[in-house]
Amino acid sequence: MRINTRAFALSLLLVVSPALSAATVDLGEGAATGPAALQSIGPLAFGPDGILFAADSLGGAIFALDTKDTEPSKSDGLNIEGLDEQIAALLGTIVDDIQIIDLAVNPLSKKAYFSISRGQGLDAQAVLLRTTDDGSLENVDLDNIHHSRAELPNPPDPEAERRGRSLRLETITDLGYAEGRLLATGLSNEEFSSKFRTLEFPFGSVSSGTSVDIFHGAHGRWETYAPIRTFALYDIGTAPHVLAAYTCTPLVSFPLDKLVETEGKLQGHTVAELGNRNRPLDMIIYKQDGKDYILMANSSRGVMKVELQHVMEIDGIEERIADTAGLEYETIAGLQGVLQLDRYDERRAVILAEADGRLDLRTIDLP
Amino acid sequence: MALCWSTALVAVSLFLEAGEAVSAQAAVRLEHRFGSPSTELSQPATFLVLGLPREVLETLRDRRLTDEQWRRILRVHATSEERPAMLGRTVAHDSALEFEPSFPLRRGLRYVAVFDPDEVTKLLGILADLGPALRLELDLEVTRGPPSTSLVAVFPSADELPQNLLRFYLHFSAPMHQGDSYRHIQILDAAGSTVKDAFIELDHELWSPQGTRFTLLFDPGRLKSGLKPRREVGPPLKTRDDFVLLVSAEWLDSRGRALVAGFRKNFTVTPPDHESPSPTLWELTPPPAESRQPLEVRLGEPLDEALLHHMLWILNESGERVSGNVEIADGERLWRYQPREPWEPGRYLLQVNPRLEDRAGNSIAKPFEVDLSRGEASAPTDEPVGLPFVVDPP
Repeated sequence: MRINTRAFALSLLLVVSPALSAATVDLGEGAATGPAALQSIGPLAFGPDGILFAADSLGGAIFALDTKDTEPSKSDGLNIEGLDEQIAALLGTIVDDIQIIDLAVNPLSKKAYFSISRGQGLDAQAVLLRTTDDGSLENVDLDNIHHSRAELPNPPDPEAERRGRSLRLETITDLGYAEGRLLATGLSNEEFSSKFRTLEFPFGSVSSGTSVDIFHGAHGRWETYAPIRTFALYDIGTAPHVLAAYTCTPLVSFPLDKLVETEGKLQGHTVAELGNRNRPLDMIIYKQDGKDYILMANSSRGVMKVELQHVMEIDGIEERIADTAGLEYETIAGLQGVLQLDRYDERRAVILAEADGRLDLRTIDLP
Repeated sequence: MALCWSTALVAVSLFLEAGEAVSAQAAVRLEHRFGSPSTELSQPATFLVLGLPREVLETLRDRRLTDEQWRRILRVHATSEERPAMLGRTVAHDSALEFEPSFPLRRGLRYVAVFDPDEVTKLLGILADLGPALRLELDLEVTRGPPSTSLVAVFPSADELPQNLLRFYLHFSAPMHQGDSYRHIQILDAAGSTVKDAFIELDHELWSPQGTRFTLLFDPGRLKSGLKPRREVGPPLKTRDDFVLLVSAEWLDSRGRALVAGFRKNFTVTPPDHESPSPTLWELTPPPAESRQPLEVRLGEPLDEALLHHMLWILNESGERVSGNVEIADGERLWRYQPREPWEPGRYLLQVNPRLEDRAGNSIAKPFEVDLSRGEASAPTDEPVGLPFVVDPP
């Protein structure tokens, strides 16, 4: 049989290229396929190409996980009633024994991913689940996955570290990805710091990152630092900005570029103050009719919609001492008990809400 | 394939024709096997179906079933069959079918294992009689000893605490249950009423990696000037009043046992502390040469207990760290360092991380709040503060 050289060459290409495309996601230095040894699992955030970042506070690291989940899901909208009960059953236990820590929707596939702690404290096991095409849940196997890991630098306590007895722990409170950088906010179990870290991604051989103390003004008089509970990214024009919500209630904005360039400390613009029972739990930013809005779940279990339109024009809220929040907002009726939110598509968001003693996953129209 | 199935049929029918008292049905059984490590909270286990014909097992293995298909054949449910089956992996070995759950079983729960042979025959398209569906109920008892964990220390240890106290550290003698902690802690005023919302309740509690130290933060929104919670409800503590920190014995340890006893700390509130610690005012007492007596540093005020353990260190003349142990005494007003080796005469440098805080969160580098109207712009730095001292020759 005579071999047509060109056809042969082409067929070689066809055989070889699937193998090539299977491993093209660049996770940086030290990437491997095998067990991703997460000692704990916390906040989640998606990067490009189906890469899921997962924070491991106990291990002091952030993992980049190649989910290989890049095709759009066949289902439209995610709705699971009694999500906590389903998860507990899948994990062979009862609802009291699990904690759903974070929710992230893969922008490529629209599948929702959940970071779960099964058991608690020293017995806790890190679990990553995701929704399936048929509306149920499946395990994402962390024992055999293409991944890489970046260690977070922590001020050294060499004696105790050497003896494995350091009592320090930084809890990573939120993660985000923008323009080749992974962003992480942390809260120490010792000093009252407010670290905002940036790490280049793909991860380099040495974790090169900056760590900046963010402070906010209060009425133009006080300069005060605090840990950040949650943040979201948005654009003012074409410049990416970070909107950060503090544990002690102010909502602060600053340009992402300044975060990367600054060493030491950075002032954020206080754009809103939310009051005692309105601590932010989670938030997303979306566009509607050309304007930017924040949708925020807060500690009184309501959901607020805040207009960001005037952020550039407002010079902090220093002048408006007598005011309420600094920006207009409305509380969305009919959305109660919301613990987590994430974007689903242009028109919708996915929420995790308490109802009748259970947790439901629901897809809602952005208000 | 067809050859395999007919072999199975022949094998089964031969078995029956031999007229043995034990039929294929009686030989198939569903059992569990415990693994290790077994703890007070969990018990690893696998579930086995024994007595299946070898050919059936081989065929199942060759067929490479999906998780969904395996679940129809052999599955385990926590507490009841009404709930979805738990995640795991089923393997067809040479002589048994084994389901290995992805997680250890939890003590105190019932597990129900179900084997459905009809699903096997349906899936493989064979006519073998593998017996009736089998069901196994496994109740894992909780064996719990008496309480043995205590709250051994609370810092700050003094009986007088500043009105803008930022945090407490609670030290336990063994790892604790996490996730449900705040309801076991209260602050009571002199009248015995609970001070509501004194602390910030975080979803992710602040425990040490060992699970034995808990950091309790007062709500910074109520402490900081000019913030809404401070304006709306005011600070949690009042100067010159008495308060009680109460910890309930109902707080469970990691093995599910209550504490040996509750804990009560009475304290009086002194005026707020807005001043940064000032190392230049500290008093250092150098030790004698050739001894292992500790260097003593009088701090002038109580500082943060956790940070005192690692934010001060000593360099010798060569710039190397002196190895040794930190001891904190006198209500966190005294820092002592005992070297591993006897002190050599010479010049030393005590270095202090400027992030060292006092009990109100004022650090050396910056106070908790900077009052810009007083022209106090801060420039926080990570440059350590150095305090030299000399160990005189004997």
